[in-house]
Amino acid sequence: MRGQRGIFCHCEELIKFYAIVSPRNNRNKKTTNTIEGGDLLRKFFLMVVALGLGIIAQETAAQGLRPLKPLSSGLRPLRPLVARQDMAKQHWLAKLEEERARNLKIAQIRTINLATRASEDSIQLAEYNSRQMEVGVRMPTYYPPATFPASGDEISLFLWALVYKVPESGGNYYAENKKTGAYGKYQFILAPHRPV
Amino acid sequence: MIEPIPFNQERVARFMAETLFGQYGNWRDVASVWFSGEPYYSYKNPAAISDGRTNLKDYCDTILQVMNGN
Repeated sequence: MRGQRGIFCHCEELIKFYAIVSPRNNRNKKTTNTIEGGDLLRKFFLMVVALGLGIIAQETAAQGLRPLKPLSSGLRPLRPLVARQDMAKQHWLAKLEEERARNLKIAQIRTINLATRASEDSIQLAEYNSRQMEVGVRMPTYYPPATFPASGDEISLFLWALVYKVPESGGNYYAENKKTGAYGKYQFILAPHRPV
Repeated sequence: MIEPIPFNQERVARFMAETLFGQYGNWRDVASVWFSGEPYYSYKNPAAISDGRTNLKDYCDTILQVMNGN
């Protein structure tokens, strides 16, 4: 029953509305003025909204927002394929050269370190000299005095004193005393080199 | 025969020094044996033992002074 009443009420409202909006069916001037007044209000409201939007847009522009760049401005022009290949080759060659220079520097540092370490230890010095002789480097007859083995054991101290502080070979592995037959850095009579 | 190349010279010298120190127990005798073939205590007058450039006493004294850091 409630539904029938609802439908009835709805129809009644439609009839009233039709009576209001149709000028032919209802010539009442009061009603017509009401409708015209509503249109003016709506137009005024739209104008206010448009004006507000315009003000907001102007403020936004005044606050320094930059306009968007066109999308194509960020793209670089394409280079020809051959030029790109040349560039890659040059880059690779440069890297190769850099690596070679680095390896050379490492080898130099290693050689310097080896020579420095060898000068501090007589056995390592001897090994170093032997390797140099193996690869064909001619050994000098003069050997600069090795540094004092401050942190060495007693044997190292004894041997260092024996070579550099008393009149012996002065560090020359090929020194030979023709009077006594002593030979080498430690002036052995060659008997110690014979197998036991 | 072991070739007297630098490496072997170093090995032999170290071996001889170790052996002589083990035998005599002090570096003066080791130096004396290195110089003359006999320990220091076996000479009554070490200063008289000379090779023409230095004598046994100076030789041993110098080596011991260096070893002691003097």
